[in-house]
Amino acid sequence: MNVRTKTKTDRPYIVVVSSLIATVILLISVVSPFAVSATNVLSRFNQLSNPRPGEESINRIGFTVTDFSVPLGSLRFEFCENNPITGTPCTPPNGLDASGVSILSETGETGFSVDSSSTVNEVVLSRSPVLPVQADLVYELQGIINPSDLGTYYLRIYTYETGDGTGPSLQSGGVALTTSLEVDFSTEVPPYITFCASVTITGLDCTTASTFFINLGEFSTNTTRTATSQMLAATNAPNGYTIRMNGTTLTSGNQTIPALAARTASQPGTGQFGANLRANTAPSVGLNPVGPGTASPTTDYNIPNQFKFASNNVVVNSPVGSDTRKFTVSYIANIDGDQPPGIYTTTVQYISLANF
Amino acid sequence: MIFSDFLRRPTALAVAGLMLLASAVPILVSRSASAYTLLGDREIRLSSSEANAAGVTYRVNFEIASTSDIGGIVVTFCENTPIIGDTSCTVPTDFVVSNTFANGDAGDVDVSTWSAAASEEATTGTGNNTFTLTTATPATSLAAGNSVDFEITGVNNPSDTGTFYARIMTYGSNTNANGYTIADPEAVGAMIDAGGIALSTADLITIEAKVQERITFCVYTGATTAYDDTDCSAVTDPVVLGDANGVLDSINPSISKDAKYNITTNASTGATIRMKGDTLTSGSFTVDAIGDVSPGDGILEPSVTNSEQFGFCNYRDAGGGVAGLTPTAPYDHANCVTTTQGQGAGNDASTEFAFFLDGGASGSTAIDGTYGDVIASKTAGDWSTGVLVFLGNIDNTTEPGIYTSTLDFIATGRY
Repeated sequence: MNVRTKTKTDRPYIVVVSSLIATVILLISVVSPFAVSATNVLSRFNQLSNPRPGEESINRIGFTVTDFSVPLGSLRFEFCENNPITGTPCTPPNGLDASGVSILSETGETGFSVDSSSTVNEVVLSRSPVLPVQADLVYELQGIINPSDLGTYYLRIYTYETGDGTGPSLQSGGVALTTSLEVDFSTEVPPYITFCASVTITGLDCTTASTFFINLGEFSTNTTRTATSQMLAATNAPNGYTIRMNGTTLTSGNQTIPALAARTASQPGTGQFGANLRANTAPSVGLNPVGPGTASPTTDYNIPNQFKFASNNVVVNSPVGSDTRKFTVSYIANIDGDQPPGIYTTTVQYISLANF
Repeated sequence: MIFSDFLRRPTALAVAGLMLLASAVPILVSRSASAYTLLGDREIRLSSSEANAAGVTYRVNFEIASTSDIGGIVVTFCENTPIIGDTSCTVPTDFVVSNTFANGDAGDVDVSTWSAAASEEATTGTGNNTFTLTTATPATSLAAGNSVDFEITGVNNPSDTGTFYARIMTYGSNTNANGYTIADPEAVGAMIDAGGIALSTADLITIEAKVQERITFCVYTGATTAYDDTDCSAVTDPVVLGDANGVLDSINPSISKDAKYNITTNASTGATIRMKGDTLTSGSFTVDAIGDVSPGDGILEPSVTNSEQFGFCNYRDAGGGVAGLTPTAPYDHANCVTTTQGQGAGNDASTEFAFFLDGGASGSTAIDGTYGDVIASKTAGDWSTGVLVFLGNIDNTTEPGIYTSTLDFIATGRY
């Protein structure tokens, strides 16, 4: 009798205590923020398009899931300053702001949208729960502002069966990433123009420009007198350069040999003073431009056997920067039978102007 | 009632009777223990004390006490007592001893060629609890203190945690040993030496610790920053490329080695370092990215003076941290390490450079792509230092101006 009474009073007590313990264990495993997921998502990373602190960056988050037995309804990406350990308290990184996040692309399991439960440091992507069939998942999220602090911060990745990022996570994993400063490079390309003129210039070397006097000899009504001089120019001026020819025709006191105001062929027996920048055959004088540059003689001075002399004419032009180019100026002089005797001279000046 | 009264009356008689009984116990206990000598310095070392663990190795080691020849060794495991000759033995729950052994030549007495057997010798419980090692050719010329050392392999520990026992007995012949039983250990022949041992299984202590994902990455300029300095604020802005005044030249190449990076990570599959940006730019003008067939084609090309080239290579600083940092193609030319800072003939050291641009095409993996181009990889490990080497060349028509380029370096670990 005593034994039976004891049994009746103890059984409910045991049931109550057992139920209480079971409930506590269940609550701890389900509700506790310290609950740890069963397995990790693998091969996880977060690739930034911009690592600078405080600036917006695309976050390309990738990972591999291995649990295909439970529907996948949502993903949660939690940014933390303190550590990547899932299930532990998270300190949001200073300045990080994911409130403006949107999905740029999805690879693998798709059909997600940004859930309204997302916060400043948590991005929840949700969809109707579906059994996952893809292992490798990649999501590009744009509109996330990096932490304002320089250095390491963390991302925690969670997968859920529910469609709103709640309940126990299926899989999870942490990622460490870092902000870093950009490196600015600076260098200067100075403007320059190289120009020289001389009777002769050896190669493309202005240091050899050292002779400046030409003797045409004795004029004749039967033969064209010829001479050459050379000039070299180069510039990196974006709008190129011009070379102008300034001077007068051949003059002796108040007597002159007429300058060719328009392109004209050489005519012995006719008073002519002209020039061009090409190789000529009538008479045989001059050379074509040489060198890697792209500048060229202007039209009136760019036709073989056609000569002209007009002061302040542009004789060379380049619309863009031009590397070194050497020009040979051919001069011709003819006289008629009435040309008064005398010593005829002129000084020709070449002026180069770069257009930066 | 009568008996009770009897006890109460002559208390002295009762005490005397008890003392008489106590004095008889030694006589009763020693009945089955013959004149064996106690084994010296005996032990059985378990490779695992986990309850019910399988495949456990028991290393049996003892010193013989007698000089008699030995032709057999018996080890019996009991749950209740180690006393030699005790006729009760309970097999420890789930305990099973095997008939395999190893390293029998570890002691002074070489038993490696002896034959092993396993059997059940118990009064309660089931399972082989007795290991017998015998030889037809007994070991001779023994001296007291000689050691016997062998390992019983493939043992299944008792499933209960706590103490259990072993009894070790030596015999002069295999016949004597094989005649061992719990009821009469000397059924065929006498023991020579014997001794008991207490063993124990225990719950395993599980120690859990977490190693969190880690990456630290630092880009900096200047030579004074320690390789493991995490202060990334030491970036001189901007880095100058050119002569002492930062002017590029069409005659001599300009090399910048001012910028470096440090990285350490524990990412299981390592980390990649990417460079993102564009070539040198001044307004609408650019210095062409270096290229083989076309500017910025990503193909290695040597420095050529009087041509527009902005190129890049990188190498691991052998004096900065550990190995594990590997520049990736095409930014990994072998001569990169021999380049010389500054502007001058030969500063490029015949290095070939690259700078892959593709206009930021969709899915681009170029330097001007969304995430930049991979320039190096780093395996999990301590700090490594990378040196960023930039080449600048111009031609005679490179438009004048202040040219700048902003480059981001992005480290991404894959865990």
